[in-house]
Amino acid sequence: MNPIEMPTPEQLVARMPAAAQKDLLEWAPPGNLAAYLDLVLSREIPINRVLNPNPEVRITDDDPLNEYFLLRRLGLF
Amino acid sequence: MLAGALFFSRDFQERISSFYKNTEVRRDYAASVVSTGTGPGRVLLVNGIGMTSLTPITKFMVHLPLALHREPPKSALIICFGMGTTYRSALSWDLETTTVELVPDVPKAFGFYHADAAQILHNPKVHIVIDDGRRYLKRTREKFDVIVIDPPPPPEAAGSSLLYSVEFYDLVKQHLKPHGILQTWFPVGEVLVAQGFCVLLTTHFLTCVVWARLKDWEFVPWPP
Repeated sequence: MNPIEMPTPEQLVARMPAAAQKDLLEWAPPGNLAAYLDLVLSREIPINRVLNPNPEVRITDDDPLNEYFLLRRLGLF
Repeated sequence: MLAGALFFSRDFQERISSFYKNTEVRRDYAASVVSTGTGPGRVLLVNGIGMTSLTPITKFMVHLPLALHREPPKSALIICFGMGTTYRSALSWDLETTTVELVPDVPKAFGFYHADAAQILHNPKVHIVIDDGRRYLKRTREKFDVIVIDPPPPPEAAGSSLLYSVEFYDLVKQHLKPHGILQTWFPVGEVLVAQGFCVLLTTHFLTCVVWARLKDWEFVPWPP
């Protein structure tokens, strides 16, 4: 298993069937599909920037830290 | 107050219909589904909560992982149907495409958002399953090249950890083929929750790429 290699927008367009290209452009402003894809690809955020070093910060079934926001804000959960 | 409520309360359907002329309401054992609005302003409400809108983001959510797949993908799974935009886009790749939706009436509203819905549903590669996404994965032996998850917002809602927890992503990973790609949408509210979610992804997958949403991406020109 190897990490995903990030292709260029032009390479991504070349992999898309014509119907998929048409679908993606359906609600796009007029222009080039590669440039449109690059709008998103250029918004990449390094994941290390959004990680928390505290190993306790994770969501599990028994400890759903995403839920009970009111109780959490009140310090009760 | 209770007596007042008896005389002055109006049901949600009546209220929403007075705001918007173009409104369809469906009710089933799981939820009330309201489709309302016109043109690009159409929205989907499930039990009164806004689920999604017509936005190019829902198209990117499936086109990107399919295009990133190192071999031509053959199958995709979309967990949560919503307006069906992601599902419709996946089918443009001519793939065996399965979607799992908890609320039976949500896929019935597909035609409200997409004029070609009836034609799309005749495609033999369409597989719509009414079930809980997590339960479906527990019961199926199928594996997919791409799995797209667009959970109902917000992540802070009770029960939503079923689609955000370590145990759920253990299950998702078991249903990806070799070189399979998972794409998920995460609506950031609390930073801590977003961090917890990213930690979860990095401990489960070899490569994790995060793209930020474009700020004004509800600009959909309409009609195309």
